Amino acid sequence: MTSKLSKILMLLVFLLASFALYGGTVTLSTDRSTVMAGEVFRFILTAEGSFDSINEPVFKDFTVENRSESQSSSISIINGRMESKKTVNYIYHLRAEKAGVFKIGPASVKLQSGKTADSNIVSVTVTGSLTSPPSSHGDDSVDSSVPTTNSLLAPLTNWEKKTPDYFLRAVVKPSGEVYEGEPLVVKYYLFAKPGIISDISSYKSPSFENCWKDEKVESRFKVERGAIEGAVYDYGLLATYTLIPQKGADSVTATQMILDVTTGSFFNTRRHTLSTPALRIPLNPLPEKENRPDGLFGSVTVSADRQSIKLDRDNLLETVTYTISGCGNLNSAEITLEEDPALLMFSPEIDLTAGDTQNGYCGHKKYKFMIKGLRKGKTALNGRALSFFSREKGWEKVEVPQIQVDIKEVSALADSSTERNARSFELLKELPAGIKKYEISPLVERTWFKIAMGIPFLVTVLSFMIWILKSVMKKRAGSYQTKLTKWKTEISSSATMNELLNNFYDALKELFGIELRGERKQNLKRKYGESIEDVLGFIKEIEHSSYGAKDDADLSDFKLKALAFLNFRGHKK
Amino acid sequence: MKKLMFLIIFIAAFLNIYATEDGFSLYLKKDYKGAYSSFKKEFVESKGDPLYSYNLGVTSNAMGKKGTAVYFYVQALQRSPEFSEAKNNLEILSKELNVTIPKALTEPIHAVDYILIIFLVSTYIFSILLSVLCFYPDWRIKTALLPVFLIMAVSAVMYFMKYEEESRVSWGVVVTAEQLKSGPDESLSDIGKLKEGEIINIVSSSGSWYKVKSFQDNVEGWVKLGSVRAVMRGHI
Repeated sequence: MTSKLSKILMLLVFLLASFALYGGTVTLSTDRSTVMAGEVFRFILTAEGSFDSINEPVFKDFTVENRSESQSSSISIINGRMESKKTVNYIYHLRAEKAGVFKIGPASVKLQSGKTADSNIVSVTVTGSLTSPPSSHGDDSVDSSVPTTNSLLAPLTNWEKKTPDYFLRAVVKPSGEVYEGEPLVVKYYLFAKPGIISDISSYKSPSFENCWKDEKVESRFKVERGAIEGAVYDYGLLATYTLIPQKGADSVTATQMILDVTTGSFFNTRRHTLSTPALRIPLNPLPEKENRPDGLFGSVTVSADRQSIKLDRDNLLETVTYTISGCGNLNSAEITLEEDPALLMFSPEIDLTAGDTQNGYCGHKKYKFMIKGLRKGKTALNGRALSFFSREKGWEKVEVPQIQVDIKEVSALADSSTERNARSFELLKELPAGIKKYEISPLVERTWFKIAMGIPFLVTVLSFMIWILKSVMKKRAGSYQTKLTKWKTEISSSATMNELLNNFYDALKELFGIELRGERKQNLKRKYGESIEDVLGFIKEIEHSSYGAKDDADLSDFKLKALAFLNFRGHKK
Repeated sequence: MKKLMFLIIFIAAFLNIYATEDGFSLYLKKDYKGAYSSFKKEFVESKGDPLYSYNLGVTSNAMGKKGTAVYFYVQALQRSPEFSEAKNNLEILSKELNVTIPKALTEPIHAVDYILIIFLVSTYIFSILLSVLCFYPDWRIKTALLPVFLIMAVSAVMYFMKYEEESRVSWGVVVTAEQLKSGPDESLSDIGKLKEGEIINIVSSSGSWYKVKSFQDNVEGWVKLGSVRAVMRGHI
């Protein structure tokens, strides 16, 4: 009885609640707004309020893998007023079939009043495939069904199985499908079973097409060890190529990398040529490309080094720097400033610093613009917004920060761009006054520099020559003194007149180069001048004395005379 | 016979008048090719005078050779960085061609610096000390020689290294738009395009090909010699 009563009561309450309801809403949501093609994700429809029926959305670009529903209702009495709420949830498991940005919805509910309430529309970005990574082998006939070598230690492909003991492997990053303009990194590794390869010879680098390339060849072959399907391999990186596909290209291709290796020991070596297959990496167009013709792959931010600039008398020219930071196709990212009749903007200086990182090809690109005022007043520098697509964020609009410009003064040359152009491109008869001319030739090749360097050189050489001359003279003088002393001793120790005479003859010859023996008097006079007369007189005296057999006292006199002659001659010399 | 003589004199005088017609009058007659040849001759004779370089730029521009005009304006600014007419025309052209002119290329190399002054001064001191030592050998002079020599040697090496570094950056201007090849051969694949008037770094050369690096977008590749003109750097 009690249960019957309670059922009736509940029915009454339900009926009352139903009457109390007056409207309803329907909402669509998803747990992920970006998914990969082939991936299953949850999609939820929530209808609340009082409604008769729900019109579910159409999933034309997705496959419905599963659908479940849940319902709940609640009644609440607030301030004496009863409110009833019904909630219906439909949970779908959807699989994305192809890459792109797809819209789901709207769904709708038919209200009891007869009206229809529509839901929101949900946008889902579907990126590259999970199941079809790019083939790293152009030779499909050879190796079309093997797992690709997008992983360093992936199982051997059919190509690699031809020489399972040693092979070259190209590893492509990212591993999924690649978008047009998406930076790629291709690394070439040499794999060999331990102890097989004894030497590596030169190799032929692959040549890439339809892309910009940055090549980094390893200077040292650094060996690491790893296992592939249980087999141990030593492997090392040979070269890394960072590639950025050209706009509009549908694939990036690379020719084979070829490497000569030597196997075996010292007496039994063999040379083998290894190669990778040619690569063909297909490129997918960016989703909704037709709506975003300037769209690029990547995720970046744009910053400016200042918020405002002032152009005045002291500062007629200013430089502003915009920096694009992030990952992706930085090479094609450009900052374009909108034309402004009040400003003259010079072509920017561009500085790109980017490289392969864990997050891909990342870095920053700086645009330095020089700005000149053409018309006084206030204006602003506006840059064209950039459009970037990434797997994680889908399409993003990247705004270029606005910079306020206050032009207080304009330069005399820049009052009007039309006027400037009119004055330009006229021949000049002579250089404007006060302009310096610099030399094309390097400083070290100029005459003044050569003279400036020549002067100290000449002074040094001259001083050195004088020093050498002095040294030689000193040496020669020293040598004469030694000889003189020697002959003085010889003469002093002469025992007879004949010996004295011979010693005197020899001393004259060695010390002064005077050869008296066997020469006629007239010839000697002609040769050595009248001053030889006294020497000849002295010799005659000695000769007479030797015939006369003079005593020792005479000999001593003659010795003293001879020494006096030598001394006198020495002074003259 | 007299008539023949007169005829010869007349022809010679005519040829002489024609030969002395300068670039300015030819330019006014819109004979740009003739004006270009005339200015080129004067440019060579004057060993790269900035005035003729500038006039060659104006004439090249009139001929529609905007890349060549960029080259001559850059060349004029290498020798006279304050040459505002050349700077102005280069700015207009670079905007028109949408190319970037690096600031370093509109200025000459600053070769006179402290290192060079130190080198010159130390060389003179060394030379004077050496000369004095020849006549008055003294231990104090001998002691002073070594540090002076060291300063001289170090500054010479430093200057040489700096000079080498500056000379290594070789700039060029693309005078005609050209495909950038992956190697020094016509049959090789294109890896990019060089714009007319674009500034490039010349990395190396092989036969009639230059290996260049584009200043604008950092792309490296090969281009035919005739499409690029190397900039002669000015030195202060």
